Amino acid sequence: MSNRDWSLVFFTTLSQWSVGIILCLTWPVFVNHDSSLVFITEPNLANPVLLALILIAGATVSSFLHLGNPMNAPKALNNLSSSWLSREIFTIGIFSASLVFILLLGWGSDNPRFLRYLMALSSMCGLALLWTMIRIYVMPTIPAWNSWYTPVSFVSTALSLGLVSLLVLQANGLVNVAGHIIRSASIALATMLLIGTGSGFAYQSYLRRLDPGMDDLVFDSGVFYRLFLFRMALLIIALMMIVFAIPNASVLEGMTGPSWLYPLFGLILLQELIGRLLFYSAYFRTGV
Amino acid sequence: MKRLAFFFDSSSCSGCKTCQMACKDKNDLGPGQIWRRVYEVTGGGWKKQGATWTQDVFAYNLSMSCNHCEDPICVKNCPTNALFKREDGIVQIDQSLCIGCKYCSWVCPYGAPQFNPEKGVMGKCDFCADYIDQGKNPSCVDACPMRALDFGDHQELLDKYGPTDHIYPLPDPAITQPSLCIKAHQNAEKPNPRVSNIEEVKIV
Repeated sequence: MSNRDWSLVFFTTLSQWSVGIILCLTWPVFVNHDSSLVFITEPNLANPVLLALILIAGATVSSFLHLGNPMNAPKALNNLSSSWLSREIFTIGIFSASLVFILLLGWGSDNPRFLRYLMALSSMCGLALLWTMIRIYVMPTIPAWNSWYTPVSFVSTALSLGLVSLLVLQANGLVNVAGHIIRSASIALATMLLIGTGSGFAYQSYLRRLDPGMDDLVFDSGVFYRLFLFRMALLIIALMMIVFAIPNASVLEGMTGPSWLYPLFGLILLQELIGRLLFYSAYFRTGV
Repeated sequence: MKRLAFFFDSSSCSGCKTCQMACKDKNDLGPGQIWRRVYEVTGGGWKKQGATWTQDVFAYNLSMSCNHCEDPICVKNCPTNALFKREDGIVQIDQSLCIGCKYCSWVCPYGAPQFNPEKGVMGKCDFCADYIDQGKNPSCVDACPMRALDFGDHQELLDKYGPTDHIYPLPDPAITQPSLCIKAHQNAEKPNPRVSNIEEVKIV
């Protein structure tokens, strides 16, 4: 991979992480009581919505590094009628704008119903962003990407990082979510990690069957395979950690201190980055 | 609406790459940018038939540029509309609009759009549109010493040379409907040949 492709690894991972955070914050806002909205209304620099905004801003900056002529970037909205890339830029814009709205209108607001709708709107923008990202890569001329794995991995990245972020935020007192929701979030995270592990092995098998026939693109040996095995090991360790924590409420809710969550978070983020690197490395096209 | 197309006679091509050089010269292309490329596809080997060993070694050439597809996947996916299709079917790029995202080069199954690192934008075969507008031939067509290249309206080429052949390693034409007519080399008719120089034929 060229260095510039790293920018796409970071762009897609960070933006999906940002969407995941918003999705995972919207869930308790609707299911839980009003106190879970405190994170929006308090003018706090550690506001999770601000974190999501910083992540999507970082993703956008990273995407610029991929461009040969970034000065023309505003023209990327020219082809909304048929280009999923144009639509992705558009949805990044509306998703970011929705986060800014939540921050501007939410701070100091005493209207929880209005804030709930804002969060729901932002989540829908995030889902639209995820959808456009998926459509960019599902192309008939790119066999490695034109598969079930593209949507599964993108959604899995968003939810895994979003859920583990929710646990970290709760453990640090930056959100106020009910215990049963944290428990459900942990079970959901374990499920996502299980899906990530299963889909990772299944995708590796799919790639092996594709056999592009190129010496410099071999999926079942060399650096690609070693990175794949490393990622699977990280996923399984992360899965074991969260499965161990689920029955233990005090551990889960950070009462024993959030320290165990940081390695879990690090493992999940690292395996997502490696997974995305492998995804881009698997590129080859039909034809010449 | 006219649909300009290239014709390539694989059975006549000697692989001299004069078309490739004529294109580079006409468009002043630097190293690594080859808008018309000549691929040599080789393969085969020894095989046992009963008590005897025979060989099925083959080699043929494929001269390939942008095929100015009827349903160009690059035009459809270009976020800035830098890629567009003219009335006569030529797919061109307006480099002043290009952001250099390289998405067109990812999705094109013919490797037509290529990144120009000096300009930071994409470039591709434009059928020598300036020559076409002056009533001249594309430079690659004129340069071919074997007369293996021709161009014209797609239907007229089909009437003149017969139905086109789908040869390895070209993709399924249904994906983009390339404006291309090919007369296959006798060895190129095998659907999935045992190619020995895959690194030359398939470029990641």
